[in-house]
Amino acid sequence: MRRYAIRRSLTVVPVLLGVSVLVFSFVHMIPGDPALTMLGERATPEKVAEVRARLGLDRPIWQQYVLYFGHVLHGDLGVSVVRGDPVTTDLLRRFPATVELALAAIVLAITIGIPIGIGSAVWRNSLLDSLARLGALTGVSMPIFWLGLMLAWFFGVQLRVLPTGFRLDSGTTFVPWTNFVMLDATLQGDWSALADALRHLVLPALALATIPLAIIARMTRASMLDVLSREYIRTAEAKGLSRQAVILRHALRNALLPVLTVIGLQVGHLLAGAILTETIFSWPGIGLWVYESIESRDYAIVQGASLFIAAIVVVVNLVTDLLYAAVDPRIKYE
Amino acid sequence: MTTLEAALGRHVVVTGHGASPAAAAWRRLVASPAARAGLVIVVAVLLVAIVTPAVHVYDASTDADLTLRLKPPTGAHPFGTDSLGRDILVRVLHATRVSLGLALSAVALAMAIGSALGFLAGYFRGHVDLALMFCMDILLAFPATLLAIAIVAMIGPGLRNSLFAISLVSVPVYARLSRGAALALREQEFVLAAQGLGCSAARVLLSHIVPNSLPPLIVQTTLSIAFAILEGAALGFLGLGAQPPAPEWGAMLADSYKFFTSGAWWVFFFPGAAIMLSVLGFNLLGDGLRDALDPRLGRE
Repeated sequence: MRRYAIRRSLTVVPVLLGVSVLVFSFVHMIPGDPALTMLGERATPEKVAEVRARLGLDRPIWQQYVLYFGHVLHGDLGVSVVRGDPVTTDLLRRFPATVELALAAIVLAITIGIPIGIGSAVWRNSLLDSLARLGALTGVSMPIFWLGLMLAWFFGVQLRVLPTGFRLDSGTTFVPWTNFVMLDATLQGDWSALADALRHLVLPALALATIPLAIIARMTRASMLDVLSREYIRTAEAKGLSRQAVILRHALRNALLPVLTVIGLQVGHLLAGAILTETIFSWPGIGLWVYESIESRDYAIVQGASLFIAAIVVVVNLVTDLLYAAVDPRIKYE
Repeated sequence: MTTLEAALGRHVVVTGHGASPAAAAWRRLVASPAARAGLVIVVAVLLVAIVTPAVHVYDASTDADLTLRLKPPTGAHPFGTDSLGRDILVRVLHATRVSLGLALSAVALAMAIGSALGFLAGYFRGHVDLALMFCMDILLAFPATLLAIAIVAMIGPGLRNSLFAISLVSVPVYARLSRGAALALREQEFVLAAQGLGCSAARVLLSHIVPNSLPPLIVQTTLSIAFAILEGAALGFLGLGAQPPAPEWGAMLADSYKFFTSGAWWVFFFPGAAIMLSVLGFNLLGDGLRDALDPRLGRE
């Protein structure tokens, strides 16, 4: 296990290096002069020269990369061209909002998706199974920005039961400490702020959870079906164990292993999906920030956020693989 | 073996005895209600994309009628009108060609490039394989939607750039799939026999490995089209795909989503429903094809 963990962890290094090269090359994909494109046609030549110097565009390309990579290693992801703020500071300030949303979405997806997948496999070819399969396929076919709009329109505009934007009501006096609003409200014992935060979280989390929920339900069903056809399940049944014990103790524990990997893979979907969901619900996380920066051609933010998200995805995939190896000793590095 | 399996009570797959593999696969495909539904939706969407421009010429400059802004569905405008008084049904129908055209071209490009790279890597192995798969791993480190958004944000909005970005993020799937197929097939006896008879690498690849790898590639292509429609719509929604006033499903949603508080549900309902229905159609067909082309998987 230790050998596998070390070798698997080492594979991350070249991938992260490659990711940094690709993200670095983003600026060079900009047609024409990147500095001029970022600043607009009305920019003064001095300002253009300043941005060119800051980006290192006046140096050979390999020097530009070394400079960029050196900054990244020091946690410096550049400076917003529009507002002049360091990208890393803004990124860390907005990250808690995205984490809160993504966590809520994945918790929803797991708590609903796994039972649906189990039920679908146990009562295979029943009406429940057919509905669950159609529901899951519809879920993976859903444009989440459209679902978000529909949810906001129905619950926010028609029924007026849930808010359609932001993390808290506009008139709130609550001041978060860490920007994890729900955590802060709990720590401060401000239950009305917690309830308010939860109400704001419901619709965006539901929209963001749809695709992972559908994928988890499909994977749980397939994995359960595979496990339920194994000999040891037949043995457990032959021993006279109750159906419930066979399903929960023998089948589910083994069937959940591949589901674990699928859950790990959803982190990327959640972070990318946040760009669309946060835009619909004016959720002040990384996604909305990236959307706004695209509109204002603030490429340093797009670059910084892309690198940050890709690094998270690589690390989460590593952790998932290591967890998988920890619970399944058959996994070896090939 | 079939008799033995039947005697043991195992699931026996009907392969269409005596029929060609393609005909047997077709028979299995149309036997599944879900796959039939997918096939019907896909054919309908393709027909709309082909027929609409032939029977109705869309002129974005004369389409708007500000006296008809945000009118709910009526007999004259079955899907209602948008914020510029344009008929949403007309735009949804014309957008089919744009959205589907984008998805099909992006997938065709990704399949051509990705499969070629994958077959070469899997067949020749060695440094080529290592280098190509390393590049693919880097692309796969990014969530596909994020990478597509970031690339189009950099190279500029538009359909052509969206096509490039969606293709690029779809390449690794094809590369991995065809590499896996080539790795498995290169050890098969018929491939070894072809090599032994002196066939060139190109001939072995084109005549033996590629044709035998087609089933998973066909399935993947159907599912990739569904993914590409969603990606294209997402880019359009963020203002990075088709530019106004061109009709495209995602861009139509971008035009309309600010009106949801006014209660004008029809402006965003119909373009989104068109996206979902077409994606669902390709997903249903893809799932059906997977079962039909690989009878060993059986019917779940």
